[in-house]
Amino acid sequence: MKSRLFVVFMVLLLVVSVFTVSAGAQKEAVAEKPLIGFITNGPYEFWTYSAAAVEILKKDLDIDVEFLLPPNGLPEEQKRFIESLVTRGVDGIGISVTDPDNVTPFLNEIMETVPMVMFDSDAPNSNRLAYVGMSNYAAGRMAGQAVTEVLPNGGEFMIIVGRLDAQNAIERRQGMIDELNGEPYVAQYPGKMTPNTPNLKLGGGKWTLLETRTDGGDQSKAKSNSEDAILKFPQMDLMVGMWSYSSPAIISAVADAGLLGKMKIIGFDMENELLQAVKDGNAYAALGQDPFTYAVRTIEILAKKARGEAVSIPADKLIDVPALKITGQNIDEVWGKYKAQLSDGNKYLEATK
Amino acid sequence: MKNEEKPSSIGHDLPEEYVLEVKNISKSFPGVRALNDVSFNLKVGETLALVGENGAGKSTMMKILAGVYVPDAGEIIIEGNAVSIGSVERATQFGVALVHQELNLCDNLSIAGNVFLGREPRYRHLKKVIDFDKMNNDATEVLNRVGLHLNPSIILKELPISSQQLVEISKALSINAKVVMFDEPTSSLSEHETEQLFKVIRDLNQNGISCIYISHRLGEVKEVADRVIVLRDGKLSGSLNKNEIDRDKMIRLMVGRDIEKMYEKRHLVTDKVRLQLEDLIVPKQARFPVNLSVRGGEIVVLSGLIGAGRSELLHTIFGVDKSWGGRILLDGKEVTIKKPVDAIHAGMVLVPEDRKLNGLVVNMEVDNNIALPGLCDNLSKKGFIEKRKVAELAERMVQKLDIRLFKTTQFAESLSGGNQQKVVLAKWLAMNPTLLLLDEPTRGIDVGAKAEIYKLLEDLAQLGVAILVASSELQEVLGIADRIVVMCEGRITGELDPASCSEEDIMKLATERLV
Amino acid sequence: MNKNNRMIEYIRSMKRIGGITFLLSLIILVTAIINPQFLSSYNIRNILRWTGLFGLLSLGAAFVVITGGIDLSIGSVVGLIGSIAAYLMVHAQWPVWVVLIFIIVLSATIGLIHGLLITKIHMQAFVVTLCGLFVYRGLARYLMDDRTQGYGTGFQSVRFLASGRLPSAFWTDGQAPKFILNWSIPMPFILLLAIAVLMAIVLNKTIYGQHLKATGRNECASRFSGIHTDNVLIIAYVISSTLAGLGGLLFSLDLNTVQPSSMGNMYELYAIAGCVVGGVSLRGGDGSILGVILGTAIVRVLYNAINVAGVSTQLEQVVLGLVILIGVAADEVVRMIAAQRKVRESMILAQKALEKSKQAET
Repeated sequence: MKSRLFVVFMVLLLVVSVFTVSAGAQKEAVAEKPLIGFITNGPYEFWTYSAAAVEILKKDLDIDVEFLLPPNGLPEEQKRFIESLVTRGVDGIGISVTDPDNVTPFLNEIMETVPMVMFDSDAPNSNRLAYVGMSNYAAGRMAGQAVTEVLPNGGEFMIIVGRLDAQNAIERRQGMIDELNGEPYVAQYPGKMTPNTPNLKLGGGKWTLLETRTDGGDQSKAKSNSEDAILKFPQMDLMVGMWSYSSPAIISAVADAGLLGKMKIIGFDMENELLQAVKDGNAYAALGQDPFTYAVRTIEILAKKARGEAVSIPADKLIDVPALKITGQNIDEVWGKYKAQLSDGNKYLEATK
Repeated sequence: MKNEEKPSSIGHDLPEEYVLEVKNISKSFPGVRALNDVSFNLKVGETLALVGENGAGKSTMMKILAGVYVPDAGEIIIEGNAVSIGSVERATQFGVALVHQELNLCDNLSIAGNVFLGREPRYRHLKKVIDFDKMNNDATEVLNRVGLHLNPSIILKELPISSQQLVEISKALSINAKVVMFDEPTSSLSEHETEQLFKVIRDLNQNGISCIYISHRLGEVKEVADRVIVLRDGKLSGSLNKNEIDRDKMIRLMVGRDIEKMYEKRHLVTDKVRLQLEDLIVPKQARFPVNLSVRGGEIVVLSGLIGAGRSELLHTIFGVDKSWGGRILLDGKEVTIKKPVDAIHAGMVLVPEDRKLNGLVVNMEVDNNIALPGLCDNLSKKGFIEKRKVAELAERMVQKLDIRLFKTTQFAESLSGGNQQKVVLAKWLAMNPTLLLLDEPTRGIDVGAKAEIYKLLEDLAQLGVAILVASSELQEVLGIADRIVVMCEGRITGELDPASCSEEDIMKLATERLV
Repeated sequence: MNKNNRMIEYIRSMKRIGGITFLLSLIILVTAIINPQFLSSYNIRNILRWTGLFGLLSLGAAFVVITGGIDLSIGSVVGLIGSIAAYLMVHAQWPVWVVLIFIIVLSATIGLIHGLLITKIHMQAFVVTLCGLFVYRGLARYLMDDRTQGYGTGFQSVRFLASGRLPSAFWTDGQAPKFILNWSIPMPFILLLAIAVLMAIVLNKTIYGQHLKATGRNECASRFSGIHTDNVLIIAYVISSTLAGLGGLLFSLDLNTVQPSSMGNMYELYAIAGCVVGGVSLRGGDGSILGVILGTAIVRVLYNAINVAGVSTQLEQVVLGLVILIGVAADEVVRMIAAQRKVRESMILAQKALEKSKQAET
């Protein structure tokens, strides 16, 4: 009996919280300005950078933007947000789709009246205007480029990643391999995968990918994998961390081994640890996503569409926001920008809470 | 040891002082009235025996005094003060200790660790740390009092069962109790150890400590008790002073009728040997190959103390434990029995000791319980159960065994102990066995149901079924057996003819240990 | 006599540990032959550090397992406490010592709640701690907004607990002799040893330890002996969660980043694996602290050995599972053979006695 009461209480709590959120979303709308909805895939810090863009875009484009973070990152929450935006007469919606396979019919229905742009996470089979995002494959090519810069005379390296069955890991790794092999450049993932065999010779034997070691998402496993690699391959020149926590784990292992500065490091994503290492000269490059630009491109397209202006969209409807390659040369500038965006974004989120 | 200054003779004959008075105690469990308005008292330095059939309420009474159960009504007075015991700890504080019937020890701890469990001696300045030296020394002292001269730091599981029992007794002695209760303390002791125990009890009495002694070995009661009270069906049925203690009087008070009528032998033993064991090796416990035969229509009873290896032998015959060697012959032909299903196919069934654990699925209906073993054979068609056949079978067995129930679809747990046991029997008799193995078939059921089960065994023997029973109740052993086989520590120590032997003869063989 | 007893007890416990030590030596030997680098000071240091970190979790789990229970929430507690510690020090800027006290109290409270639910509401330990596994993981993600927590370059003094080494740290100028520098022991392992000594005393010398073993083996008998079995169980869960919390702190200090959604995932299983390999029976009542540490070391060495010996990354869990399985099975088989030999011996003895008595008759 007691436990049943508890469940009822929890459900009530959930309902109330949803109401408060959607009530907040239904604040007074000014009729004349176009209203654009921007829905993320969850409440993550990543989106704070996007929030920073909203304030600027509101002024520059003279529009209203509703910036919505689904509290649990659930498809239902995104659905509810969309429905309440439509009731308010929204003029365009940007969304990072959490469950593309199942919500596509619903999105298509909405898109009969309201135009949509997907960002970061696509629903490729929907009737969206465009998809704005980073090609992981292109980012991999960029990382490969960085390898040629840091090891111009060739060398041996190692990849540390969570799982190799994740699409972003496959694309990033493949991009690196193709770049080092000197394949002709394409921006989108060509769909092949080089198997994970040890001592993969690349660029005609100039570079060697010693191994790609997985840790299943466990940070401390990532660190011990790095340590074991340092032990096993004393001649290794470079380590590449492919997931956000991979590079901090590598940096920690390299620091413990007393090899900071000697062992080269390249990492993906903009973890503070990695940026600090780039700044200190302990890592060569970081390949960061650019959520600020995601928001800019998405909202620009939607605002133009709302005003009936012409929008140029490529035929494949894919708009690539390239990764930011951060090295010792631009670290101060980029990091400064990130920090500024972060504080602007936080201010915006605080104000609209 | 508070009473040391008193003259040592005071305990026995002068009734002035009661250490314990029990007034109008009642206690019910779901479905059973275990105790009904029981009153008695205990003088300083006397030994009071509490006797009664199984299920008469003796153990419940003990557990109330030991603080395990709380009585529903009534009053307990210790040294003139009304107290509510309520917990084992408080019982210990009041100086009441219980020597359990079932071993209640932790076999991963040392002897000393068990004796002082919950009351470990500690260092004066380190209150949380055990003073192992003191503990071992104190334990040695207590162990000496029960005649157990062993190193107290030996881990308990390395001791034989009889020594473990003495550890249990030492544990009760070590709290300096005013009242020590013994619940069937001799069920696994040899004659010598029993005498040692009686000496301990007399020493306690000399020192002004009172004892309550539960046993259904009436000979022992006569020897050790100053006074006897008898319980029947949860009620006090009588009290006997030292000079009145007499076997027949006690039995009359216990069962309320003449015991002889319970057993009536009509069956005839055939010549055909049904079960023959040749050098059968029972795993782990038995150090000796077993040779034994049971003929058709014969009731052979395995007797012995707790831990004599009787259950293990039955389990090995039935394939619960795989034998380590030897041969089993049924009707002259060798059978390989690796698991119970082989045994069932060979035509034998086992009624296990713990009916709630191994005999029945207690939260299943009576009819489904009865049908369980035969489901694969003749109660189902292509894997589907035929409800009608199940119901018919259940109905037939319920009538045949006179199981008293409301309907065959009621849960087995809602029946009384005796009727539950009949359901277990029904379940196996439905298989039409030619060899019936029973392990303590009448433990914990009332006298009436016992008589009915004896009659049932009698009927089966008349039909030519071979029956092998393990039983600890000597009355029962002498009453139903055609032949008594006595075991001790896994070894068959002898065979007796019930017509010409006494309980003492059985006990002698049951304690014939190899040293 | 007492001295003699202690010798006997010691030898008896060594017998139990003997198998594990043999397994550990075997793995070390085989790996060292395949790759001699395995025995380098760098690698040994790493193994010791990981053994220290995971050993703390195993020690806590051992107390619960000895009671016959289980604690599935350890990994989530590691994640929760690890991220809270980083958040409070870096973002909330609480003083380090306040944070330390706070997280110890917090993790002890978690264990207290588990213990109360198990003993007073009579819930099964499996259920309670399984729910804990979900709740603390979710709580960590919610409280941290799924943001990765880290210490940056600061907090060197407290990070010494996880990444420091002794005695090389005594040379404050960093100019310790090379030998000492190479063979200094990582702090987590020193902490593990200190706590293990404490726990060994608790388990073997104190009243609590005695009651723990008794309750784990025979709860009924323990209650009848006047032991507050409820309190014994509650304290076991408090110890487990507290050590998990401490482990969480050290893990976060060592890795320097904590992802609330993944940090500590599955660590409860590593902890229990360490116990099982170390001879702690899941049936309750049996276990030794040294065994738990050796068991944890086996799991860590195995992981390291798989990498160093060059086994494919996909196969490492297979190897880990099989080695644990074979190790524990071998232990059981050896015991079975010993028991059978005992029986055979006594049968021969009995036969001889029988023959003798027959001879005496004739």
